[in-house]
Parts: sequence; structure tokens; C-alpha cells
Amino acid sequence: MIQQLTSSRWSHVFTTIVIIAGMGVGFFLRDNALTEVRIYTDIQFGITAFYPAAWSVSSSTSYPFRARNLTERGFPTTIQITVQTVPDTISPRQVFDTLSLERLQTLASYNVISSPVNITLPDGSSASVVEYAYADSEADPFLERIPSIIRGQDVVTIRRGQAITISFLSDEKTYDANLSTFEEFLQRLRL
Amino acid sequence: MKSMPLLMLFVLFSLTTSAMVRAQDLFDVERSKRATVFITQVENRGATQITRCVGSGTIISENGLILTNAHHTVRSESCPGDLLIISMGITPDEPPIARFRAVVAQADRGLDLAVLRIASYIDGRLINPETLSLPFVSPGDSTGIQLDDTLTFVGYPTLADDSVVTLRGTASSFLNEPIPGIRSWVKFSNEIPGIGTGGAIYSAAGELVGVATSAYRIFPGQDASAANCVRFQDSNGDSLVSADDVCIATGQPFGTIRPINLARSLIRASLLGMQILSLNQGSGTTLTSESTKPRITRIFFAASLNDAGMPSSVISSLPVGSQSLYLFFDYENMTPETIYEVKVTNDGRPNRIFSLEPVRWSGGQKGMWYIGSTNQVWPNGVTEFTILVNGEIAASQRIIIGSADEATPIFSDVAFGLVDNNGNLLGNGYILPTGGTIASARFIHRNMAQGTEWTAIWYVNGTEIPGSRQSNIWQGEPDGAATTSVEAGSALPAGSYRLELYIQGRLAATSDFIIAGIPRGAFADVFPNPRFVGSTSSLPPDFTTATPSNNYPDQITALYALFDWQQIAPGTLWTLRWLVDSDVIYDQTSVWNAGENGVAFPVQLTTAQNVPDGTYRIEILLNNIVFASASAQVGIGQLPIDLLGQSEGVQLRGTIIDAETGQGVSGINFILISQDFSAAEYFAARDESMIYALATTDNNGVFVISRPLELSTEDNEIAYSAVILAEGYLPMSADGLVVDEETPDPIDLVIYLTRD
Repeated sequence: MIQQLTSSRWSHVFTTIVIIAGMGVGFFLRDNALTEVRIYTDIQFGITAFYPAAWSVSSSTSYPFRARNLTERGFPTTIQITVQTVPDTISPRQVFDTLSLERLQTLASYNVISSPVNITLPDGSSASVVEYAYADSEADPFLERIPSIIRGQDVVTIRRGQAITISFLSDEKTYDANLSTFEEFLQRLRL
Repeated sequence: MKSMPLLMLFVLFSLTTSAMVRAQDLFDVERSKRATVFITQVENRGATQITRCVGSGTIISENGLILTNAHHTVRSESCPGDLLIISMGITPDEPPIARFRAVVAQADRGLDLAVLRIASYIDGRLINPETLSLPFVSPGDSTGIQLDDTLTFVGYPTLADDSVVTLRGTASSFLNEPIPGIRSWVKFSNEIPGIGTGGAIYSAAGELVGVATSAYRIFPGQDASAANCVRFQDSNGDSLVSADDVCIATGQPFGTIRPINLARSLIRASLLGMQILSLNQGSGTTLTSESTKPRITRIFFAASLNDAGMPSSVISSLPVGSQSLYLFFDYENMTPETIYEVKVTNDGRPNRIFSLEPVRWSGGQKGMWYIGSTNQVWPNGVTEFTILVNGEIAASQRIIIGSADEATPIFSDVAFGLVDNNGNLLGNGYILPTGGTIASARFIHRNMAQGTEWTAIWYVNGTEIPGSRQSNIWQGEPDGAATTSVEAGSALPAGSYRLELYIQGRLAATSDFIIAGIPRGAFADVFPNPRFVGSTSSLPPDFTTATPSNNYPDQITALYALFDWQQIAPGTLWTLRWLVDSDVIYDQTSVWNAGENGVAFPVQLTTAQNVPDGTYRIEILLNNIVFASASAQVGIGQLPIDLLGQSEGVQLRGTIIDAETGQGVSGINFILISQDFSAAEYFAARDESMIYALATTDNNGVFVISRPLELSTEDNEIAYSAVILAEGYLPMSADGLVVDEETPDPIDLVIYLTRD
């Protein structure tokens, strides 16, 4: 009887330890999954980028790199790199102006919300940053969705006759929480 | 990565499919309703927008082409708006909500048909048409419509207060006019609300076969109630909505339908993004001013038409059981904005079947016109035709149907030509070359007793030719063929000619013909040297020196068709037709106004980008006879396969529901993986090139996959995979989603997500 009670007590303890260990492994794996990154390389444009492994990546004729968090509800947080050939004399401000004119035609309530700020990229090169916002509304006329405010920032650097724009877009509600992901992306980006 | 097979999705897919297969009808009413739009033409007056004209329309391509009428969309005197607003209901049972702006892609004001292109969102943001995935119906074939076939109208019934309605009826008659010809109109047995003009007509099999068409406008000094006038805006800014404000003509119930085949060239040109423009300033229809009142004269009946659209003979009665009757009349001062209507009564009772409700005039400014039908029994009794122009009675004529078949003297089947030495009539019957001093007419005569008085009168351009009137006493056989001629002192000039034959003072037969061109044997050469000139410049080349070719590389930005002309009188009706790979993309009949002789009449074909590869052909016609044609090849000489293709397949949509709350979940991404990859491969790579389509749920958890799912066949199975990844929920995936011809369209899925 006493031996049975002792055995039962030990089994409870063992079970508890296994559960705690399992939860620990689970949290470790989860954190690992959340912070895990993948590498993206584009030889043509000379881009090497590290992006969250859970995000979906794509490229097209209009952008060589785009990663989106499709697991996110609502607007997927997006990091996109576009490259356009420009004259050597162009300034980042002119690139921003061109982007603004294009976006005014296609984005609702597009508004630039900061003046260009000069920054230094991790590789030592200079770049300019502009923040903006717009309303993202449903394109399908048969669906009902309240437009959401999308906040974004463009980081523009000009090198080798190309204007490279690194854009970060996120729902205004989650912008600050997701900004660190973009900052880490910029830290590891090789152009 | 946590994932579990999406068994539930499979089960629901199967259940939904089987249930919908049972429920599905040949005619997908919901799809046709979703493809229906309400069109508002708006006039910008500073900060105020005034509604000017309204109507219905139908989306015919997923990237936003809309088929509708021209009268309420193309800018005109009665519809002077400069903005087209496209509204549609979120669900088919709701009134429309303004969603888009559109522009006119192609239009034919005479046929009263137009194709619009959605160009921007309602707030003015531009749309890339390739990103649109709107519900649409593909145009069908209207030649298959038979009398008494069931037809269904789908359109809006009121000024944006109601949802889309469907009205069933039958094809009660076919009415023919010179332009566009046989089956100009199909009559619908039911009454379509006036505001439904531009709406769709579907066959019993669900094919889009026609466009409901009727036009009303309010004329100064006339009772506006006929046009069902509605005022709801303070357009003059006097803080009152009164009789001084803009009135919108919403029309009266009607049953006139333009067959869809008449819109084919407009639709093709719209799909190809082509614009065809005559660069000759003198060409086109001369519009008369509104102060010049239209006139209808010389109204008579004929039992049938010949190939040139001329009356076989003039009649005043028809025997019992007659199946063909045409009303002919001369018209002048008509414009594409003229509203024309034919009311038919039988023994005083209105006959809707053969009446034509108010429509836009589709002819020229001046000429001879007819309206009537064949292969349909006309009722016995006194049938009266009353022609109304711009709301006023212009002419009327009666005929007795059911009278005894009396042996009255008859002239019929007049044809023209040059007579050879053997007395044979040479030429094509209705177009004679210039240069001759004699024109002859051959006609059939029956029951002509000897001694009967008869008269022939010749006209040129509406004026009697001096000395041409011949009053004779019949001396020949009662039945047979006879010839009469007109002879001038000098060569007969180019122009439009007419012969009237009278028996004892009664008009017995009449026909028109044209003298034009230089003689080539018995035939006329009117439009010599047709040719093509390609250009890579945005400016037209010098047409007199440009070197023509029939082979161009695929980098030209414009293609010009040129032709010379000789001895064609101003005022002559002519037709220009463009074809691409044997399909007509432009077919326009207008009045010749470019002078009697000239070289290098230019017609320009342009597109938004380079002229696509294809074989281009022009045809120039007089009286439906091709007088000149030329072809040129661009690139490989064949249109890209998918350029005219419409995407076909099954639409997938659904609702994603929280299994715990039973409520729809918003903002969830439904990822459809293309056939080449599995869900597991997507999980491993997270590469968006594997995604076939992506949809996000709305506030109610509803999602719609924008690209149609391709149908599997016995030889080619296309199996899609689906993935749902959402923070806070267990991921779901499924492989092997297959659709085929048996699958209902659309597929409606209900997916339950479990919280993690």
C-alpha cells in the first residue's frame, strides 16, 4: 500500500516534469520558428536579404523582392525592394516625389507624413527615409470590408545609376510592433 | 509547422457540390444578376455633379468591359454628362452602390450599342484592369433565337431604388431595317421598365443574346410625361427641385431588343483595345441642326425586299395568311439623336408585336428606309403604321390584310444596268458606272392588259430628270419582263438615282440605284488602289508619299488603310469594314462627304500599345456589295491566342467561420496553390510563385477567389491545394481540389477554423 502511494507520487512528479519540459521545448521551438529567417539572393540586382521564415516571398518584373506575412490577419505586413534606373544626378527627394505621384493615382487618401530624413545604412551608405499612410479598401465590389489605414516607409538609396527603394508596409495598428522586423531586415540586407 | 489535413474542407466541398448540382439550372440567374450594373451619366458642374442619364448594363469580361446602350452613355445633346458611374449591388438582392468610373471604349450611336471600360474606382483612383476580377457573362450567339423562344431580361427597374430584376417573356417577332439588316430588332413579349434599357437579355440556356434597347428624351415644348421624367436634384442651385431643374428621362415600358451579334465588332475591338478613326475631315455623317425638322414622306408598303433592300413592288393590300410586310418611306434631316417610333394597330387595336418602341435613328441623314418582317403571319384586318419622330406623328399609312387575291396589274423586281446589243442587262443591278448616257431598268410585269396606261419617272439626287417622264400605253404581253431606259444628252453624272413606275397613276414599283466610279466592263470601279501603310511614329505619315506594304513587323504603333476614290457623289451611303483574322471589328455605314474624286482617303487603326500581330483587312462597300478590299499582315499574321480569349472556369468563394463562436472571421487569407505544387511544398518553400490565387475574408468572413479555377478533363486533371494560415487558429490545408464540367459554378465553401 505504502509502495503504491510512493510510486503514484513519483509518477505525478515525473508527469509534471515532462509537461514542463514539453512546454519549454514548445516555447523554444515557437520562438525559434518566429525568429527563424530565410535567405533570398538575386544575382541580377545584387540583393541578399534575410527575411522571416514564416513569410512568403515573391519577385516580379516590377520588384525583385517582396516578402509578406500571409499568416497575419488583415493587411499582410510587407517588405518590398524595387529598383529603377535613374540618372546620376537624381536625388532621393525626386524619387519620393515620383513615387508619390504614382501612388496618388492608385492609393486612397495617400499622404506623406514625414519629410525625408537622411540615415546611414549598415553598409555605411547613405539613404533617405519617408513615412506615409493610405487607406486600403476592398477591391472586390461584392465584399464588405471597412478600409484599414496602412502606414509605410520608404528607404531610398541611390547607387550605380539605380534608385533602390526598400518599402515597409503594415497595418497602422501593428506598425510599431512589426517595425523591429523591418529594422532587422535592414541590418542584414546586402545590396 | 503545425498542419492538419483539411478533411472538413473536402467534405464540405463535396456536400456543397452535390447540393448545388441538384439546384443548378441551365440559366445561372445569380451570376447574371451579379454581372448587371447600373450606369449613371453625370455632368460635372464644379463641386456639384448632376445626374443626366441612367440605364442598365452587363459586365462581359472579368477586367471590366460593360455592354450597354450608347444613348445614355455617349456624350450627346440629350445626355451631356462627362462622367460614367458604375454601380452594383453587394448582393444581387440589394440596390446598387456606386463603385467605379468607366469610359466609353467603343460605341455605335446608330445601333445604340456601346462597350464601356471600367477605368477607376469611384474616388478616381486608377485601376489596372488586369487586377479586376468581376463577375461577368460571355456574349452568346443571337442567331439561334427562334420565335416564341423563352427570353429573360435582367436589369435594374428603377432609379437605383431597387435591386436587379428578372423578367421572363418570349421572342414575339423579328423586325428588319436596312441598317443593320435582317433581325435588326427582336421583340420581347413582356414589358421591360424604361430604365432597364441597356440591360441583358438571356436565352433559356442562359446565353447573353441581346441588349434591351429603347431611348427617350424630352423635347422642348413637349409633354415630359411621355419620357417619364424624374427630377431629384437642384441642378440650377435655386434651393428648389422644380420644373426648372434637370429632368432625367426614365422612359416607358418597352420590348425592343438589339441582338447581341450586332455588338460583336464593338466587343472585339474593345477586347483588342483598338480604335478606328477616319482622318478625312470631310467623311462621316453630316449632322443637321436641331432646328431642321425631320421629315417623313412617300410612305408605302411592299410585300418583300430584294437583295439590295429595295421593295419588290408597291402594294395596298395583302391576301389572308401573308407572312411578309414592309413599310417603306423617305426620310430627311434625321440624326443619330433623332428618336423614332413606329406604332402598329390592327383594326384600331395596338399591336405590340410589330410595333417599334422609341429608339435612336440608325440610318443616315437622308434616304429611303424600311421596317417590317418576314416569316411571321400578319393578322387580318386594317393594319395602320404610324411613324413618330421626336415624339410627334410624322406620317401614317394603312394596308388591308385578308383581302381577296385580285388579278390587279403589277410591276415588280426592278433591277438596273447597261443593256448590251442583245438586250441583256449587264452589271450588278444597283451600282452603275459613270460615263454612260443611258441607264436601263428591267422589271417584271403581271396582269397587264393591253391599253393600260403606265408611267416611268427617273430622278437623280431627289430631283426629277428633265425629259425622263415617259407616259405609255401598255402594248405587250400581260406577264413577263420589260425594260425602260433614261437617256441623257451627255454622260449621266455620279449620284443617287431613283425610278418610279406607275400604273394608271398608282405607284406600282420603285427602286434606287447609284451611278459611281469609272467603267470596268459593265461594272464600276469606285475605290481603286486600297492599301495599307504602317507607322512607328505617333504622327501620321505623309499619305501621298508613304510606301504601302502588306507585311509589317510587330513594332508598328499605327496601321493606316488608304484608298483612292473616283466619281462618287457626296451624299452616297458607303460602308467601311475592318476585319482582324477574319473577324469584323468595325462596320460603319455613313454618308460620303469627301468630294467626287480624290486619293489616299486615310483610316487609322491604333491601340494603346503596338498594333498586335494579325491579318488586317479592309472592305469598302456600296449597297452591301464589296467594291474594294486589301489585306496586310502584322508580325506573324495571327492574333495572340489569349487576346480575344475569355477566362473560363469555376469561381471559388466561401465563408470562414470561427468554430467556437460560429461567426465569420475577417482578415483571413485563403491561399489556393497551383496544380504543380502541394500544400506541403508551399509550407516548405513559402514561395508566392506557387500561389494560384489569394483571397482575404471580409467583415463577414466571406472570401472570393479572383481567378476562375480551370476545369479538369479526362486527359488533364488539374488538382489544386488550399492553405489557410491565421494567427490564433490551427492551420488547415488540403490537396486534390478538382473541378470539372459537372462542378457547379460558383463553388461555395464553408470552412470552420479551430482556435489554437
